[in-house]
Amino acid sequence: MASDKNIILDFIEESKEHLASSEDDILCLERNGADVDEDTVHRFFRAVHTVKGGAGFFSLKNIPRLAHALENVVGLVRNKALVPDSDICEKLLKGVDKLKAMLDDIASEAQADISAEVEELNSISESETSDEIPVPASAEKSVGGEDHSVIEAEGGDKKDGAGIFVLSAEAMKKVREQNKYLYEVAFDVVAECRRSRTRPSEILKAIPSVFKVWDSRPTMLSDEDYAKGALQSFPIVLLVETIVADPKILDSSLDIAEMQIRRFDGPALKMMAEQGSPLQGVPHPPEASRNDKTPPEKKKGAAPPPHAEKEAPERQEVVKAVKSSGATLRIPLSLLDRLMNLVSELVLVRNQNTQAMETGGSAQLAAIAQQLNIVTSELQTEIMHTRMQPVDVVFSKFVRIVRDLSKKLSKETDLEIIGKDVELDKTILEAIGDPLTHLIRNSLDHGIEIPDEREKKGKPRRGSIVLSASHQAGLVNIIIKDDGGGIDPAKLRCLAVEKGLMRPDEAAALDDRSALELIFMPGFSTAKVVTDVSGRGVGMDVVRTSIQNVGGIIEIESAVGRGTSIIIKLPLTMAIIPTLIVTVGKQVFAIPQSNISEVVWLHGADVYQKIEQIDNQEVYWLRGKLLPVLRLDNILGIEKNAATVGVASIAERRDQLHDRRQKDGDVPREKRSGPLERRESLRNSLFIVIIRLGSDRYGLVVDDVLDNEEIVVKPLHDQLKSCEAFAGTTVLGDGRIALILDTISLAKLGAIVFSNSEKRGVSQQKNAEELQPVLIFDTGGRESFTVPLCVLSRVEHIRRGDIKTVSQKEYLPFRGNVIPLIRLENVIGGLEGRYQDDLCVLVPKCNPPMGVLVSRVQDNLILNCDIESSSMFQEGIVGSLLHEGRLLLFLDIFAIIEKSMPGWLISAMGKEKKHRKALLLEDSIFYSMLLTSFLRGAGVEVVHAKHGKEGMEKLLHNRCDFIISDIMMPEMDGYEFASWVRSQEAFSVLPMYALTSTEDDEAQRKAMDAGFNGFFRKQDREAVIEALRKLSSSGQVAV
Amino acid sequence: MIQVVTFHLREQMYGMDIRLIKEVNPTVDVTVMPRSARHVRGLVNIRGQVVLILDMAAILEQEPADIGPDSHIIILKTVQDSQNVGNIEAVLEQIRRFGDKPIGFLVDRIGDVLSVEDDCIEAPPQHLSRLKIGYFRGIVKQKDQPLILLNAGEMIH
Repeated sequence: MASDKNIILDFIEESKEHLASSEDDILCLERNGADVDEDTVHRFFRAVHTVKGGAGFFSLKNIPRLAHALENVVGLVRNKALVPDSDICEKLLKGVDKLKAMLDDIASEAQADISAEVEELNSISESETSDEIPVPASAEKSVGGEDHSVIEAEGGDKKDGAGIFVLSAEAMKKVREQNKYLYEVAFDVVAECRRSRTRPSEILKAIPSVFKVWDSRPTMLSDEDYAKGALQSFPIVLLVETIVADPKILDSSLDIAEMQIRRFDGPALKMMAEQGSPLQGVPHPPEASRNDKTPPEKKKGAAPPPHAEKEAPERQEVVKAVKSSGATLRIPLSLLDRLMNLVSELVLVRNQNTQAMETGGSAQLAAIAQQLNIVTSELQTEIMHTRMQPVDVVFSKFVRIVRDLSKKLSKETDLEIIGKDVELDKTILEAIGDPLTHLIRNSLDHGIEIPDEREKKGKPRRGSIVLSASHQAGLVNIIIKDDGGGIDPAKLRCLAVEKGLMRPDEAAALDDRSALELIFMPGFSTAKVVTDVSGRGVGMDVVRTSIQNVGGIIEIESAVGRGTSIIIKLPLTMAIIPTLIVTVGKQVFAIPQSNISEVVWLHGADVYQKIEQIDNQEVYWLRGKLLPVLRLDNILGIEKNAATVGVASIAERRDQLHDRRQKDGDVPREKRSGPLERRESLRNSLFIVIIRLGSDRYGLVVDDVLDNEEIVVKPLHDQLKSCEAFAGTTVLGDGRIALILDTISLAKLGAIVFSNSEKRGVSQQKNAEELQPVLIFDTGGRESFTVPLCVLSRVEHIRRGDIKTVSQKEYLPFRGNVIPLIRLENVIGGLEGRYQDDLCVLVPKCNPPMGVLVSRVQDNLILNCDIESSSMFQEGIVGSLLHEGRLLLFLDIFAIIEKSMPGWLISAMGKEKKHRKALLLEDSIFYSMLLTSFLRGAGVEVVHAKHGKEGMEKLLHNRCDFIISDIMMPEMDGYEFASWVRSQEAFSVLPMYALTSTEDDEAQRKAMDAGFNGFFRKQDREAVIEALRKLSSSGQVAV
Repeated sequence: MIQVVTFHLREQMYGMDIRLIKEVNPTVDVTVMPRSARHVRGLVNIRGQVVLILDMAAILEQEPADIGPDSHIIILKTVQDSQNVGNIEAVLEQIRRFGDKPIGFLVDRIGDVLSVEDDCIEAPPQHLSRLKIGYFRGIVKQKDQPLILLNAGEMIH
């Protein structure tokens, strides 16, 4: 027998569970307005009712009073006497809140001030009942139980209808002494009357006299009210006294088709019974239902026809209640945690077993080990599931938050929730509740505009926030998306400077994406005024930290005027995680897989060559992206044994390199000093684990990568929290302890600055079209040069002896011609030219042909030609390009020809005696260089503009014969520019060509519509030349 | 009367209330904990549990112990083990300080279990008190050499 204390705790627990769904129910009522959903209103009613009944039993004071007031109002809604508008629902919500608050502090509930809530609620119910509510009066007579001490918990106010039966102890005793039994008989008066074509009063009369009806909740429907026909249903519960001990006999004795019968055992039992009101939710043993009298179609319980649903809502509820009570079980969390731990240890034993089997063991044992493996994995999965909860647990409260907050801020906002069934570990769910609340508040407060403003902007008055959860690649993505004003990166930059978080030049250097990330900086808040809504001293940095603490990642995307999306990526669980096991020296470490994007293996000379140093930070070029690199041994201070001596030598070399670089300016040199090669035998491979931190990445250098292993995370001892760098420990399959690396802390310890390096990587990705095959060569000096292959017609190996010198000029017999040769060192100042006997000649695509002498062709590869341009380069060098740590100088080969042999290219067009000029609009440095080359190669003078606006200006100041324009450009794109050109009388027939990077019919059609005469692909020299040829032959080129 | 587990750090004998101790193990591989404090020796794996090992000598401001064949680990009870302790508040109080994750002390050599009468425990001599006074519970004069009783709970902070 449970003690009183336990009963009251159960009561509180149960009441809270009931009320938890009430909020949703009220909101649902508010949404549906007059179209009241019966299930919802019944559920809500029952919840309030249970609370009231239970509280009355414990002689509580204020909870029953308030519950009663609530019940009155809901009763009206249920009877369709009241349409739940926003105002009523507001009051209901307030009441429920107050109830919850009182339940939380049950000891002082009697002191709670509930007058405001009760008054508000009563004012609703009184105004309604005065005229409309049908008060069934006739039942009073037939219910003959007034002298039987039927007590209402709240003191006998029965006008609302349904109530729970609470009997005094004496009354119960009396009943028992007389060997009589009390039953609650629940049925639907309306349905029953329809079925037996009778009136409500007749039903009571039809009850045999051995049954004494003591009371009913609510009072019986009057015949008059039934006759009005307005009611679809009128559920009622009768309290019946009888000598019949078996409910089945009672069942067969009563002439009622659809009813629930329950033994009434007094108040104590009621507390333990499910779902309060006997009206609908009593979980009833199925045999107590009168199936025999159910019309045939109703017997197919699985799929009742729609009208059956309408007529017997309580039956649906009962079925649901039975299902749910049988399918779930409340288990204390501590037990689950204990189970988790045991399974964790089982997993470890399994791992050890598996490893032991791998090193030897009989076939028979191996088979058993295999079985153990499978069973353990399944057990692990299932146990993990016990900790999983649907995100709805957290999400559901936001409906209310958004609603309340919208009202407060005078905004109109819809919250759409998607994927509320997606499950997450309980720990993670608990951890994200507050951050999500903060983010949603932010979206509402700063994101969504007030309705008038939205209307002005041409948006619907109601703002929308979409909160969604979905699975993606083993992670759960939670996205909060609003259609509000978005975040202006420019404002963020200003704020960062104002708040002294950055220098103006630093802020200006940030691209928009990085600027958005500023809001995660400590001490940053975009709210102009700190409101009590979002500004609570909790910044986005705290949000980010909370998310990261559970192994999550938070990202932000925003478009000014269109809205903001916040993307949170979370691991499914924290307890068992897949990791990569790595070593440094003798130590073993585990890195969570979710933090790793890839692993790079360097071996041989690459160990020393591929990791570069920039501004005291080691970096690695990964496919054209510059990643900062940390050495795990350095950060953790792990002593260098023989295996790691190589690190020291790299450090030495780094210093040398650094010194030299300072002497030579910014150009890194790739010459290696001798001693290094000797040391290479000491260390011939290392691994760089590429770590993902939100949108940033860095490389972590480790000695070796051992394995992928699913590990059980064991928390660090509190004594070790000061070590940072670690997220926990684990025991590996071989019994060794591995420390789990905290990749965020490591980045902090290593003082990594995620500069523009990685960001530039992003912009490079955008320009993926700039991937170009290039040739890399040198002139025997330290510099490496590169040109795109498409500007060359041939690359020839020649011998020094092939070169003929005529009056200090060099010539080469080439395909029956004799072509002049250029030496780069003669054109580019400060260049060394050292040629062996074997050398090469590059023959550019130009007419007449000529050659460029180079010492050696180093490589021939495809590069991302995102060129760094700089005015410090001399003519002929377009810019520089870092590739895998090598600095490549990008040559404009036609500029070099022009410089070396002025007029050579123009003379190609000499026959026509026309000096032609083209306006080239192109934002990419590479393509403008390339196209300029093509055009110069064809003898055309080029005026270059980076975008449409600049193009307009240049066109007005230069007499151009034709225009070649890119489409996608900043400021003003090609279509707009073309339209403008065509709108100018002077240029209405000026030939104009569009550049496209793909064969896109749609884009081409659009280009023609905008006024272009034609288009060609960017790297297609032939097309350019062909277009030029056509131009001159058609005589369109004006002089 | 209390029962005391004795152990040695170099030549000196120490003792600790047996009710605080969960088990004593020979030293297994200690995994070094980078970036940790001087008195943190590392982590060991005892039947799948990760136990934090503190260097008793380092806590007493002596040279950290060398791990040899006689080295042992004294593993303290955690809050979860405290139900077996009974209702002795002083002991429970110490165990609460150990926290809920297993912790152990590395010692040079393990001794015996001795029964010590309460009135045999003398106040610690002054020269020991320059260390944190709370470390020492008292001193027990023995025939051959004195036994220093330690307050393990004070040594973990």
